[in-house]
Amino acid sequence: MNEKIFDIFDKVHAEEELKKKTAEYLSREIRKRENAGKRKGWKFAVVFASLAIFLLCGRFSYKVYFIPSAYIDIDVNPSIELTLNSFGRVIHSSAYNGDGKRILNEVQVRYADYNDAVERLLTAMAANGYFERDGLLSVTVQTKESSRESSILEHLQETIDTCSQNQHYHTVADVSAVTEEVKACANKEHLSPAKYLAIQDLLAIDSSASFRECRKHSIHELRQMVQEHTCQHENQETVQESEDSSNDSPEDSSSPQEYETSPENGCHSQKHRKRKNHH
Amino acid sequence: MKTESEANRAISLYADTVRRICFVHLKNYNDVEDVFQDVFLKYILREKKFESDAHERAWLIRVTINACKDMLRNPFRRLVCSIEDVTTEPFYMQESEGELLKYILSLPPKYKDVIYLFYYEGYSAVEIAEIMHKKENTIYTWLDRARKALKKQLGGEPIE
Repeated sequence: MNEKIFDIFDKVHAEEELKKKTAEYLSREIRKRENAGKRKGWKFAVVFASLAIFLLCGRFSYKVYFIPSAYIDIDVNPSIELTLNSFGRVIHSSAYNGDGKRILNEVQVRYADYNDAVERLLTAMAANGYFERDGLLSVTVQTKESSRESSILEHLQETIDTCSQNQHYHTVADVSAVTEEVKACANKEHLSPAKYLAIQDLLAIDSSASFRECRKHSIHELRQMVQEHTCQHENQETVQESEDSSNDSPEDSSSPQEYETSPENGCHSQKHRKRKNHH
Repeated sequence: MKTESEANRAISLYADTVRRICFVHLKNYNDVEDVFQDVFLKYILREKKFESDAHERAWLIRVTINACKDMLRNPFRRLVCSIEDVTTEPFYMQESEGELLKYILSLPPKYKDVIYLFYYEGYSAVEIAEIMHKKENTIYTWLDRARKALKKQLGGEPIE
């Protein structure tokens, strides 16, 4: 019986046609999969390369976009710093005081062109009445690229002039460039460069003034104090000169010399003058 | 993936074994063709190496048995039947003779497998248990029941 079962199954064989068809089928499948593998390999390589380029460019672009290139500091009483990238876009904004924070909360400036950002900030300041109180707008620019510096200063001056016309406020605008050193010293004191320099100017002529006391005043007040001290000092000099001349030869007692205040010493608009640290 | 030469080698070595298992389970030649190609396709796509020729053979047997069961369970196949099934005698019944074959083919699938593997392929119950992923005692039970069923059909002729 066992042999019978064996013999039955032993008669069963795979047909040659079946084997041939299967062999051809497998041959096609092997070729198909090999070709698909190559295509897949190429596809994978292309996708990977594209992704790598995208990531590198993206990462590079991201880094380049967010590299600080210039700083614009606006000081009315709200005191605000704008950080620009090389494309002239605001990548960061911060306030030096509470009024500055209030303005930044109202106005969206991030990623905006610097002219638009300044216009929005000035419009908000005007709307909040800051120009009526102090009337002095100090704007400083600090950048390593001198060619860019003059361009930014020119554009800012135009923006400020246009804004004041549109918003119907009158203010004296001081737009100037500062050195990296001044910016660094100002940052250290958490002051705008314009205010820092105004304090330095006052300390230079008023030995009784202290830095701590000075920072409580606005730039406008500081400039006024400088003006007062300067005028006082000049008046004293004039009196001294008069006394000296009356003690000298009579021919010298001519009409009192008129001291003319040069526009550069006054508190009027000073355009495009680079301010350096007095120290 | 294996090469064409490896595929041809496998066909020459194992085609008859696969065919016989298909013969045990399937009646339709188209089904046989499908299972045949499916089994050898799985063979060439298998990445893992076989431990030995015996391992390779056992693997092919197991895959063929499972492929036959899947083919019989295929719902599409149950809904659609070929004209050959309806109009002609199964190809294998024409080729094979004898009542014994008829009785063997009438056994439940699991009994047919153990009869084939035990009496033709020469596997022990332990080896069959490993191929079919069953317990050894289960294989002994199936063998015993298969023998008793055939004995009953054959009118008491003993099957060892």
